[in-house]
Amino acid sequence: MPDVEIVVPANWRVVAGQELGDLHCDADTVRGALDWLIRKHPQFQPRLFSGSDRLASWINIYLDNEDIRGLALLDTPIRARAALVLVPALAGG
Amino acid sequence: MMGAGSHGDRVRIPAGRALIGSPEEHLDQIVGLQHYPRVWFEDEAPRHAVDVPAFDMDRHPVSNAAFAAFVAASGYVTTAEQQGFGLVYGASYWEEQAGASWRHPAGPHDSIADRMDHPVVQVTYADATAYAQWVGMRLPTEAEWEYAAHGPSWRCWPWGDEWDMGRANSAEYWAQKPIADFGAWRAWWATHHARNRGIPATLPAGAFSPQGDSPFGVAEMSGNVAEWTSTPYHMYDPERSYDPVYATAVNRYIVVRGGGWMNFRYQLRTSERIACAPSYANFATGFRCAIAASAAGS
Repeated sequence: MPDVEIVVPANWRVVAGQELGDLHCDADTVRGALDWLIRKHPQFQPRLFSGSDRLASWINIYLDNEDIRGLALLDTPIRARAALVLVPALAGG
Repeated sequence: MMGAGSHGDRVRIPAGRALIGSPEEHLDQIVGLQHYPRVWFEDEAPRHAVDVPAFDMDRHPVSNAAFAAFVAASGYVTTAEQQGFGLVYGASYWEEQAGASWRHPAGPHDSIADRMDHPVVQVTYADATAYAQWVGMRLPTEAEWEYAAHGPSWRCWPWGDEWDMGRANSAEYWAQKPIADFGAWRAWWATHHARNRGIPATLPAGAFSPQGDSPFGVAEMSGNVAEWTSTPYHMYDPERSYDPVYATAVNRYIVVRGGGWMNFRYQLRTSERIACAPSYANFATGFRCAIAASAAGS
């Protein structure tokens, strides 16, 4: 499976309570990459999902600079090495 | 159209060269005073000069009463009303609250009926822009907003460089004690949320005026509600290195300024920048309007 770099907001370090370092996993869908992230850092779950597994309206996710809401959302396939950037709908402050 | 002359109380901001953005030494300093890393604030740099033509700005954010007049006259339906929910901060994070809208900012159990002189919330960029157009005005640019907040040269808060919880509607005002990091904020929020069931702690226009006013006499530029500007989010220096999360928001998001009632001191600074998705609305974000002086008349 392709290598995926996950980029999270700088303030999520505070939520995680630790330096996050580079976040890399092997995944072939956006859902697979996010599942990996949440297994590693469960405290990120409410920052990504509303309810059990619906992408929340307060987060936007870009796969190689493309909004996954314009693709296949969580089922968007990842076919090659990629970057997944997580951008809160309200970032900063 | 209501017409620009009938829309509330405005302040004439003279033309001037404004230093926009935070001084480097300030950014270095706040890293040691709160919990977020320098990269979180890097988008406030570098400080740079902007020539701002004279303009008029609302002295206060747009109120529920003013927005209600707009809706009554135009039949406008906000984004939150169309989608059936608005964002409310729950016990520990944001929640999509069914039925939350500008009329019911926390949800169906809440109403603005006794808060008509409070700022309107649960409005998206499109909602704010629609209102501004209706009154013959526009949203302020980011540079106009910051210039109106601190004057030609930088100061941390509209009234000066010393934080004072008695000058702005903030988390610290409600806590009546200093809050300078996430842990202290969470402790306050747990109590506040349990007591208020998500009902926004906005206050009427002028509640902190004149003690919280900017050098131009503009009120509530820190706290009460965060405010939409008209400026697409961008980096002040495209050659500088910024957090990739912020870089991704460039030209997709809109700049929001000012911080609101649930924020604490460092989130209420005059040069603090927030990147906000245009479709976003929550119970602590509103707006005010502006117009070029040349269009407004004397």
